[in-house]
Amino acid sequence: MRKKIGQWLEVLIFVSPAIILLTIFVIIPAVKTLSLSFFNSEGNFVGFQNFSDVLLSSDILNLSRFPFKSPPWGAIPHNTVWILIHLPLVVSLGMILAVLLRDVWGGSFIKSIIFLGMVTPMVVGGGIIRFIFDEHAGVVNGLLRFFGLNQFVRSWTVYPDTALLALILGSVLLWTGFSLILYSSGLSTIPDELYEAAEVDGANSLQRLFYITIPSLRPVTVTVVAMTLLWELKIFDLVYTATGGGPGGASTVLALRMYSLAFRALDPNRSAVIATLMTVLTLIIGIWLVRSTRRMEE
Amino acid sequence: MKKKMLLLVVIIALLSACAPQSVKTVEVIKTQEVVKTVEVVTTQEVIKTVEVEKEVDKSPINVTIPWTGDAMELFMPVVDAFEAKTGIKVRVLPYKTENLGPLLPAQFMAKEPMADVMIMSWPWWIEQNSEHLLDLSDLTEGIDFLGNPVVVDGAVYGVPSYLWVKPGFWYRKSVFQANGLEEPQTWDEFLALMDKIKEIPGIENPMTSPAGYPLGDIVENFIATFGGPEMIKGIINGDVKWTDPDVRAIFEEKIIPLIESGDFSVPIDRHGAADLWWEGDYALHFYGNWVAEDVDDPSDMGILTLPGASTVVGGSDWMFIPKYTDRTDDAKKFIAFVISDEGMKLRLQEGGRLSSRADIPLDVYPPAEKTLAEAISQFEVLPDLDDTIGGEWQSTFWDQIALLWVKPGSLDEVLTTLQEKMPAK
Repeated sequence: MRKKIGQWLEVLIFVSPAIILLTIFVIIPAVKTLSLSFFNSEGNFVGFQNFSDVLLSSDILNLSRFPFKSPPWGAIPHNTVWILIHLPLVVSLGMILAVLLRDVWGGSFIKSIIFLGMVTPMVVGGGIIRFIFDEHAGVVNGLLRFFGLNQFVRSWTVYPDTALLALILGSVLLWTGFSLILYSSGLSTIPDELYEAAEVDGANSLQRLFYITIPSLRPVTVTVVAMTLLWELKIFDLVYTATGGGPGGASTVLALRMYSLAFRALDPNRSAVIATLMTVLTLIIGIWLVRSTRRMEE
Repeated sequence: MKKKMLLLVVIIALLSACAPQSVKTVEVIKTQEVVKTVEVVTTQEVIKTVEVEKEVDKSPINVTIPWTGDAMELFMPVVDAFEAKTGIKVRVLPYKTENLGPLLPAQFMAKEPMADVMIMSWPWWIEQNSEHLLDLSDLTEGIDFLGNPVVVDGAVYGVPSYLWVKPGFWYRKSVFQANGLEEPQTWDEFLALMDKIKEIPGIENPMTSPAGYPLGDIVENFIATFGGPEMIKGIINGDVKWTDPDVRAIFEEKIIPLIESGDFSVPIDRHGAADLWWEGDYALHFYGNWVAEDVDDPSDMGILTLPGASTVVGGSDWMFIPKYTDRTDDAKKFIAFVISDEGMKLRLQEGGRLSSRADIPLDVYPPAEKTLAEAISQFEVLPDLDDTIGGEWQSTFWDQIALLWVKPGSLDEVLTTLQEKMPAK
């Protein structure tokens, strides 16, 4: 009995720093944020009033424009569009590039270059995106001119129809390095025997890709999808520096609205509503990630 | 044993996190306290020595300034002179207003401000946070300011440092001279000037459109010129709506035709806009007078006001003191020095700024600022519209105007949004 208590005490001592830090820096602020969202600025309990004010505003969901007119559609649709375009591109590009560069001479060097986007601070990334899509100096417009697509030549980030798309495509460039590196390390864990056996059985390269490589990379895919989703949900710095959410709110996102309510409107209560919403969405992804990982381990 | 050591390390780590950040010099001053003891028969004086600990803080006071780069360097003579005169050291922390504003609320809640004196360009922010600030009415008493102090319920919370103005479109005298261009006196002449400028080789557009607040400033200038000062004041206090037909007419008849005919550029990065204008990509550049700090030869700058303009938008960077600082006296001394004759002259002679005080003589200024100071004395100085309304509306304003610039057809949508987002009266 005494030995068991001793073991528990030992465990407690080792986990207590983490528990203390988590409590101070995560749990208490999260609870405080949640409680803030139910009060007004005078400190009176207002139930779900802040939620209805914020979530029904056109900055969050602009039903008069979404989905048939050009942006602004509101932060939730913008984040959703971001996920719908960015996630498949990042996952597929990362995997394809990892497979293509696996046995190529200089592959590691090319991977390092692609990974540079990932280590670039997103504040700088925002400036880079603005530059890439600039009408005069941008490489994208240079390519469009080269291919004779002059009708698309413009500073993409200053027009409401193209600002969001420019940010999403630019962020693919910056984030693909993440999935590429994870897939590359995942590929190195697949035993060569599997490929050799498949070759003996007469499997061609496409069959090897679909029946060996992709299934074997499933744990990596789960991680890439989860981390990318979280990144897309909390995207802020890149948007803030590239477009500031504009023009006319055409590229605003949830985190930017949260910032704007807290630090421009000086309204922490309504800002807390968005923070709560983002926490819930993040939790859902987090729980899915943990469950998927456990299932795969089993 | 290991467990005990581990526990000790955890406790030390927690305690060190709680340690105070600044060290104060403590001088022990011996004072003599005279205690009188009254007795029935005789009076006897007992001299007792009491040790009183008085804290004399010799660490520098922290001052956040909204000026960086050259603008910061031009302010440093004032700081140096203050240090020499008072013996109080100053640590200058450059923080742009848009970066400082979001930082401070949390610091105020914790009663731990990052600086003893702060300078920012948002009067609305100072107003809304006045509960955390010191009443500085005693510093401004008897001074006639051009840029108004920030006053809440009769108490002064923000003291104007230097005046800036946004008088109109800057041009290069040499470019105008070389191309035979003249300042227009009527709206038709203004339009004719645009056509002439477009014919100059290498010109992208006649006028720059620096993204962010400068675009809003352009709109504000048009409203003040063609709608009059009352329209600007009416919008600020909520009596005039953005959707008012008279306001709409200014957009429809003056601004949008210029956008549609390519007289304005598409919105460009505001930090690079001055360089592009100076290098000749554009002929006219609407900006505050501090643009003089960014150009090689300020004497080559001329100012072109909109025909019929009788007003100029002006404002200041306001100084305030958080009431949680323990260096109140030193902080007040600093502000008093900045707005003193001596402090003001030290900065004005460097160029790029105007005096926030009405009684500073014109001969203090370098030639370019002297001309400007003389010129604006003919105009009514209006408060900056978006700086005065402030809050989330301000960023919405910049954003909606950026939308209008690339999509002039969205005028009604823009005006409706601006009206909807206006703070409650």
